[in-house]
Amino acid sequence: MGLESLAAVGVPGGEIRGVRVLSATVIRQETVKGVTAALRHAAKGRDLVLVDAGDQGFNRAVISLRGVDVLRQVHRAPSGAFTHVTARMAAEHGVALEFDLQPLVHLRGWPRQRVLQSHARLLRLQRKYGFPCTLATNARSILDQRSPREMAALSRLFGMGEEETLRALAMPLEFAGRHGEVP
Amino acid sequence: MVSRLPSQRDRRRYLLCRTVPAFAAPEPREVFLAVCEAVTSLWGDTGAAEIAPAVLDCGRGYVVVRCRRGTEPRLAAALATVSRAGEGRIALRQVLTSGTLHAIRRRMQEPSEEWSEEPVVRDGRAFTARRSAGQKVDLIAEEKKSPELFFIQDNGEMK
Repeated sequence: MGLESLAAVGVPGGEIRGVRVLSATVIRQETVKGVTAALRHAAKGRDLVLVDAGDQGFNRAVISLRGVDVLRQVHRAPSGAFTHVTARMAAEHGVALEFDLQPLVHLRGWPRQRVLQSHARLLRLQRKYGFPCTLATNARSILDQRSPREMAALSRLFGMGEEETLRALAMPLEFAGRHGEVP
Repeated sequence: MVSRLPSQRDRRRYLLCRTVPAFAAPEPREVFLAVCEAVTSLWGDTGAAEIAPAVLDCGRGYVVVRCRRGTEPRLAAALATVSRAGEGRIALRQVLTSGTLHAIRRRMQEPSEEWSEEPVVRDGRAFTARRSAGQKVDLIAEEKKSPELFFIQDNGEMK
């Protein structure tokens, strides 16, 4: 498929047939307190910690937490959840934003148009403030996985260039091993 | 019918895609409808008319799709959004883009080994386990409508 590495949730990290597997955890909490508690327990020993986005206050608080790598599902968050202030904070704390390609594959019509609009707006903020970003397929089976070439074709739909795509695909490797003991 | 001169013909490009899972054998018509739906949904009717997608070959784990030259990036993006052909779930993994069918056919290979199938019961449910060289074991639930597909390792651990 052309993948050098991938992040998988709930599995130990390692290398399988030349593909580096990063151990990831996804934190889905409605309160910042819940995220902090999850960071203490679930995030131990993980290469990548992803947190589902919420409203603006939640996102700002989560971005400033130590141990959070990626803010995901921003396109599903309420409007105004990720503004230029949040973008600046993400750049300062080195927290990446996930561009989810799964809705581009599975949705049709106006729901997909909304996702494309959201991704294009977030990409504009990313170019302005320079926070890291990642691309994800959120695949549950090999049928949902996409190769880097296909991910580049999909990310071009919302204006992401080839170099930006490659940088976004390499970003999880940069996060790997960043975690020590989370306080 | 008088054939047109090469200089007067439409310039075409051909995309070779591998079907995933490899044992899926969708009907060519279903693949064509899936490709057309994906292209029209993404680029609209005018875009689809410009791209003019056509499925030339479908079988042995490969699909060959034709488009007008210059529209292949748009077709590639649309092919990445194909997730279903008829009743079954599939993905089209792009392998090669070429201007000649000759190059496409050269790249097409037969699957290296035959699939082996064996019945498996897990958690009280019946599955068919398909195994091939270099790939994980695929477990297909024995249900008539939209069977679930699981991927396990050789040691039986569910992924």
